[in-house]
Amino acid sequence: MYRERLYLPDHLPNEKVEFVLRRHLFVAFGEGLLFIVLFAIPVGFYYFFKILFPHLLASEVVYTLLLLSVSVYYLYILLFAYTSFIDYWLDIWVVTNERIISIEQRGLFARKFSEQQLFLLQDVSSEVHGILATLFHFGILLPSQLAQNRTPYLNRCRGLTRLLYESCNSLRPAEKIILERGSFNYL
Amino acid sequence: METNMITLSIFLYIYLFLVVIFILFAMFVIYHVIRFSFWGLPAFLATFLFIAATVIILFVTLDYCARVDWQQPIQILPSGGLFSTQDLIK
Repeated sequence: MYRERLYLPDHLPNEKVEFVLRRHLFVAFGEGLLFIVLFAIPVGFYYFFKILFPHLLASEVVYTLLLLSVSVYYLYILLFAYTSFIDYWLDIWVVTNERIISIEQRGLFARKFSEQQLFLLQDVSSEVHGILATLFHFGILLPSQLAQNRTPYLNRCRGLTRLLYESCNSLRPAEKIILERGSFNYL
Repeated sequence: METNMITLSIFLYIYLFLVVIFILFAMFVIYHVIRFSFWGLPAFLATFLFIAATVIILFVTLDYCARVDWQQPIQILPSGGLFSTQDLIK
């Protein structure tokens, strides 16, 4: 078994990582299918030209230009596929014994960090929508803070104070651990 | 060489320029993975596959390119220019 080395912003003393959540592999698989189709396109074009315009491929100049184009095409599709994977891989939600940290990779040049202290949590709920989400056990995890939804002002700030964990796997275990670790103060 | 002709090497330079941009971006993405150190087996495998596939694509392309005569001319416009009616008159 490998063990991930995690980059935690402002690592607190005695802070221990409880678990890490990522979007479900099924979500990444959907993006992967798109790249498989993109990888297959030049092969389809090759056979199309080979059957309908065989004389074009016989020319050295045309063949060279096609090879250079296909080479560049594959390099960039490969780069986009790898970037897409890194985008998936670097989007994580770390639950420590102190807080929940959400790290979102937005493209190549932007990252967003947000965190929520466990002692401020009021409750945790999980939502599963749709057939695929039910079959593959993924959904939305919603930890909400004290007094949220109770006053109009905080309702307006909900987007800032409420973390939303989309398409994460291991919903129920995650919910259970957060409930155990958080000191929930029901007022 | 006629004025509307270029050598094939122009396309090689364009290709090399695009490869340089690709390498810069690839290095930046790999730096991201190392910097934020979420090294796990999937990330390591993905990085390894990415580098291996890149090396194979570049090797196959450059191996073919080594055997091409890059000085051969290519006609980029019809003889007489783009708006010539010469061919129609014939």
